[in-house]
Amino acid sequence: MFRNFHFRAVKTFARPLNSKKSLKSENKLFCSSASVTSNSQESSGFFKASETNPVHLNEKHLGRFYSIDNDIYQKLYVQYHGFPLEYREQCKVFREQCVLVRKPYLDLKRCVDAMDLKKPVVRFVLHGADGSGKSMILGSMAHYGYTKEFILIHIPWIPLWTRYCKEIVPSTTREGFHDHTINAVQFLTNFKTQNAELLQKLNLVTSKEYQWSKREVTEQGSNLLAIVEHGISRPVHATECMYTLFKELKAQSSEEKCKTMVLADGVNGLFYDCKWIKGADRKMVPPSNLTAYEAMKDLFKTDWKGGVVIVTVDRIALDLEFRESTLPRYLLKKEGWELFDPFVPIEVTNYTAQEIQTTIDYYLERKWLQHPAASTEEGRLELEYLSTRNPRTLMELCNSR
Amino acid sequence: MRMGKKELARSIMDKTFMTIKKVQLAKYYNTQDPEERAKIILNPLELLHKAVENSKPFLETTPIKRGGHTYQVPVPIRENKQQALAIKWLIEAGKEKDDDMRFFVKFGYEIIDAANGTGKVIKKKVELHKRCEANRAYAHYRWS
Repeated sequence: MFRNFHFRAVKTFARPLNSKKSLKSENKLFCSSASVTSNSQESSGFFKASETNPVHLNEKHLGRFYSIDNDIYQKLYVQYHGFPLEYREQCKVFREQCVLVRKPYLDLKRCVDAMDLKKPVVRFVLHGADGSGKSMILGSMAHYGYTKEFILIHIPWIPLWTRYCKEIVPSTTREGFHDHTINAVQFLTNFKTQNAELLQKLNLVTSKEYQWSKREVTEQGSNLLAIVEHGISRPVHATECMYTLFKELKAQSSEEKCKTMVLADGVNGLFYDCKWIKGADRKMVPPSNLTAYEAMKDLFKTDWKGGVVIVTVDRIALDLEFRESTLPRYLLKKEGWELFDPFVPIEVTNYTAQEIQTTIDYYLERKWLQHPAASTEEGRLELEYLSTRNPRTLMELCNSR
Repeated sequence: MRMGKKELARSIMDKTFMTIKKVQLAKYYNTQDPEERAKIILNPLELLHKAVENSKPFLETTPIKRGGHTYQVPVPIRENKQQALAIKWLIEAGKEKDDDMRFFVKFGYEIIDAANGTGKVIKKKVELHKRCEANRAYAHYRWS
């Protein structure tokens, strides 16, 4: 019965002209629903696209899930907040990693493809309602950047540096500034996991000598990984290492030795006071006195070439008092707006009718939605209505049904 | 539900159902054998009903005074009280001391155990029934 419903819904949408592929996979459903045993753990059905390479994803795959290879997932996302926590927990349960291909993702991909890397860097800002899928799109861009051999600077969730920061120490090199130690070390470890191969292959070397303290020096001409490893082994210098690494990568990209993709989630948190960041005298440290913030803001400037900056602004990244609007002008404040203007805004909306039914299909196939009425027509409409087509609300509803 | 906090009760139950689904799905995806897969119940609501059904005691002992002595007399339990006791025991088992585990996680595990016929709650029920069986000699005191 639910099959009929889906066909009815899909007919009203403009089907791609080259629908041979989709027809073939629809026929697959009739076979897969009848077969009881399938040895592979992967899901199959017409909601799933068989393409795993993000470079080849296009309008044909719009509104369907594509799966990320397990090795790439382990390398890029697992240790760190690459994707939101609830999504990673679900991936553990489903034994696979599937991402929905949505229009903002395809638009962003096309823009990044069409960019001229010889011109100054373009900033893309994803904005939208709470839980509408901004972090997921940012995360899947990391996969795309990795396939296209960009060096990834992936700062997954800025509130980890503001609200949930682990340790703040006064900086040894800068007067009046404070450093994040544990956060910076975590970032550098993950930078290494994501980019070690590419850095070795491209053989990027430091342009000058860096002296971290009286006895610790990184020589000129050593691989950039040396800076990363120094930061990991010496937490006190970790934020400084991060800052130097960013400066080096910017310079090297401008000289066309490499391409860099900067991804940051919840950037608006950098411009607000945070009462959880306290110095040794138990007084709040203003955002202008934090090295890590300076490092990140430096990345978002347009004074370099050979890369792309993709960023999200999220209302949830801020404290409860600052959540009046979801639009970039309000969230970035004056300082942020001046830093980011001009940028390319991309709005991420809630699911369309087709996308939400596809997600429900996927949950049903993975046996996550257990309520007997979930697969009926009325059940699906009820889920769609209750969740107002918002991805996060749908996930929360389906968690307990 | 305590103090009329239905929202809290609801959110705890939602998290419990999510844990149950995760545990059962892990078992489901670990086996490839279709027979074993058919035996695993994935619906958390179904498991909950089964757990409550399995942990309902039908006899309990009540103190009755006859001739200066108090005897523990086995007595049948009404349907409503049976269900109330089963649910209360399940919740208490979930609250038992285990500092690392959240309540809804432990509660989920207790429900799955009870539905399978094992676990603390079933043990408690069986011990109650044994006490009643041991005291069956006093059963006539209920009416004398």
